[in-house]
Amino acid sequence: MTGLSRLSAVVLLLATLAACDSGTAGTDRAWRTPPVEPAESLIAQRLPRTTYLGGPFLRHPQVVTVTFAGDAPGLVDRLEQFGATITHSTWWRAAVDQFCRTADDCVGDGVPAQPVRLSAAAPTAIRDVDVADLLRREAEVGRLGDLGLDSLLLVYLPAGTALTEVTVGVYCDGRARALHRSLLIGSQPMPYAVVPRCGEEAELTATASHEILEATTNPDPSRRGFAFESGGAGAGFTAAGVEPVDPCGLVTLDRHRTVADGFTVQRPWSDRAAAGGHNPCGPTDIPYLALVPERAALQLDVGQTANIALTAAADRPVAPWPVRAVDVTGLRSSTPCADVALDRTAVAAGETATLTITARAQPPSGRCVVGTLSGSAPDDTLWPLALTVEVHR
Amino acid sequence: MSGRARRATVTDMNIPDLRTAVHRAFAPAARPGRVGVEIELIPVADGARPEPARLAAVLDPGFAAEARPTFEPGGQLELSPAPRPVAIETSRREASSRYERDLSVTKPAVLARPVNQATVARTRLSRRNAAVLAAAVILSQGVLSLADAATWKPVTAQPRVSWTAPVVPTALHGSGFLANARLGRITEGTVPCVHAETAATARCVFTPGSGSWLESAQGDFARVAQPISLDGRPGGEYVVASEVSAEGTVPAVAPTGHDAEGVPAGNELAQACVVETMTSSTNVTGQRLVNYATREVPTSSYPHPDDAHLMREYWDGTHWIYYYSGEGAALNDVNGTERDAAGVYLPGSAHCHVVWSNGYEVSGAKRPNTKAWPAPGVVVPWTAIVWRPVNPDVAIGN
Repeated sequence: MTGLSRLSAVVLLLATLAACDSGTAGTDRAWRTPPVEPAESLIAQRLPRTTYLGGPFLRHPQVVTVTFAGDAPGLVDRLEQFGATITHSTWWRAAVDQFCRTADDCVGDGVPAQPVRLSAAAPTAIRDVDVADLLRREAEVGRLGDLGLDSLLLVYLPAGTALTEVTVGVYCDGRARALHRSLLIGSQPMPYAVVPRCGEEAELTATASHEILEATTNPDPSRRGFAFESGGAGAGFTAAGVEPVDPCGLVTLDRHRTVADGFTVQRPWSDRAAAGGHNPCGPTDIPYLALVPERAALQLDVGQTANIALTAAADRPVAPWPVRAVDVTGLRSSTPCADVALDRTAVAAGETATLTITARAQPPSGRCVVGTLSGSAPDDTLWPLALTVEVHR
Repeated sequence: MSGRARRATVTDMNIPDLRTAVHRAFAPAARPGRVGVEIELIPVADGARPEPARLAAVLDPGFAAEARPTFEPGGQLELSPAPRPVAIETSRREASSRYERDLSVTKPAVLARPVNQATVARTRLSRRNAAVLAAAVILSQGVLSLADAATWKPVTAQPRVSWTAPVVPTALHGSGFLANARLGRITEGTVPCVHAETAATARCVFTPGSGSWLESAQGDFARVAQPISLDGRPGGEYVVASEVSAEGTVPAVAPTGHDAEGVPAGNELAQACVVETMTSSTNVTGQRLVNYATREVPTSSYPHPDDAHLMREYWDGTHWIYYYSGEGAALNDVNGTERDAAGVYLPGSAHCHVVWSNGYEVSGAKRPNTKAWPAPGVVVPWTAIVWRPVNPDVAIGN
């Protein structure tokens, strides 16, 4: 065993000990999935995978839907139904397919929990830490029911209540749509998620599906459970977050919604699809098209230019498809990070292209995402590249 | 112990590791090699540390002839059996059987108790050139025994890891607050700080003008690795540090899961970092540093401790100066984290480094020494590349 793997083993051991404190260890699933059959295609080789990083995860999540007094009754009924059913839907079983610590210790079906309708109305603005304090107080007086090791508190803020947090500011309107964290109730860690009213039911359940899956796989974001490793070869894909749904918001430009059991949900990253060289965030009945760069990341000084070689690839025989370059950071923030250009407007599988990148400005984080879009909207997909921009000293 | 070899970092007791380390540390032998193992035993007593003379008095002559027991200046009992072709498993088995038998020459029964591994680990005896197996000698009422094999606790010296304890911010002042960015608690207007060169610890005045800080329900915290002076001016010779808790954790910015609409965000730093040994040229993981240095790094180190590429060498009239670049040349990152050639942080705890000094922690840098003048500071090129606190005022490597 190398020193590195020894270290990994120690970290994994320590984290596994922590994991034993959360969820019901040693649980099996009520269903079986076929083994993954890895492909040897370029796409399969280059797409990242999630991994178990040693932290806690929920085995049979119990979603406790929490709403405030005065919220629309019909909507609240639907949200409660969503919370009671989504973790044993066909969507859920496909979504958690890859999340096994060992062969018999996996994320399984959820268990319905009693929803909670708080008697108090929500304020017009509330901070993330205030929501945590509120939940702690309500739990300590027993108003959240019997909470167990697999409980997940899912709080929907009503219309007219703005959620704020220091790293995001005010949620919604092009910023983040929800958050999840862990709080302590007594000495018991308790994952919770907060979904502000960024839209109507479809928006809410889609966002809630994101939070439920990520809070199940990473109930304590300070101790990662199933996630992508930050940085490294997957740096472009994980630029919007390391949890299992995050890369799909980037790859699909936030068009990764589908319908499950009558509710709108988000499609998460599928390691199975990635291993097969298919679209990791999308339905596999649509061809997956990509321009795969020779490297996953690059570093440029402001004003510096680089050419990146790309190879066109598809998961099945297809006609040539349209491609274009995109500065994702600039697209999202309105402050251009880089000038990007492709030497082709269409490619066929096996052909090559060249992406020219000129760094224009250093963003606050020092890192941008650029990439190429393959296919036609709304089914086009992004292959992202992490771009580190330096200001030469 | 001899100190001839430069980079042996055996930290665990299994044959493949030992063989690898020996092959790395010594020139290849022309004939089948042998491995000598020194076994150091820490005498433990309920009261004062046992006197070597008392221990020596109970040793069997036959045992003494084979094991060649001696006593280190600190009072450790050292067994030095002859080198042999098969190394540690045999010796370890012997230690837990034959040596036990031989050491257990006196009667009556002894009071055995488990060894506190952390205590043993802190009493690490030597880091150089040999595998060190420490165990406990249980001494009670003048009777020496190894008790049974269950009381043996080898110093595995697994790399110490520093974990984060999350702090949820309620207000941010300044920049650089990546998820898991480590923090120093502001108490009565001061923060823990460490001198960037000497690692001397102090409390530095910290005011809102001293650097980046945050508010939380747990109090106010400053971001670590910011240069600061003792009187709180930004850019001094000290760097903001964290105080290590009894559990080995340090406060850090709590990561949050978001549905971010696919909007690119900042990096998430490692939740656990390895604790490197100050002034050591070796890495506790036993792995080479791989941080990709885009700048030339001048140093007196030759050969390079991480086998970095030598770009050129220069005689300044007094010293040979060697210039390295590329993979592994140096590390001086405010987050103690290695980068690849594309400037992307490498994932995993093994690529995140901190150093501890008197209970304070700061980002670890593997670099030559620096001096503060001319401002903001420069590398002292005739110094060695070893683990030191980060010096954010001086660009080294990147």
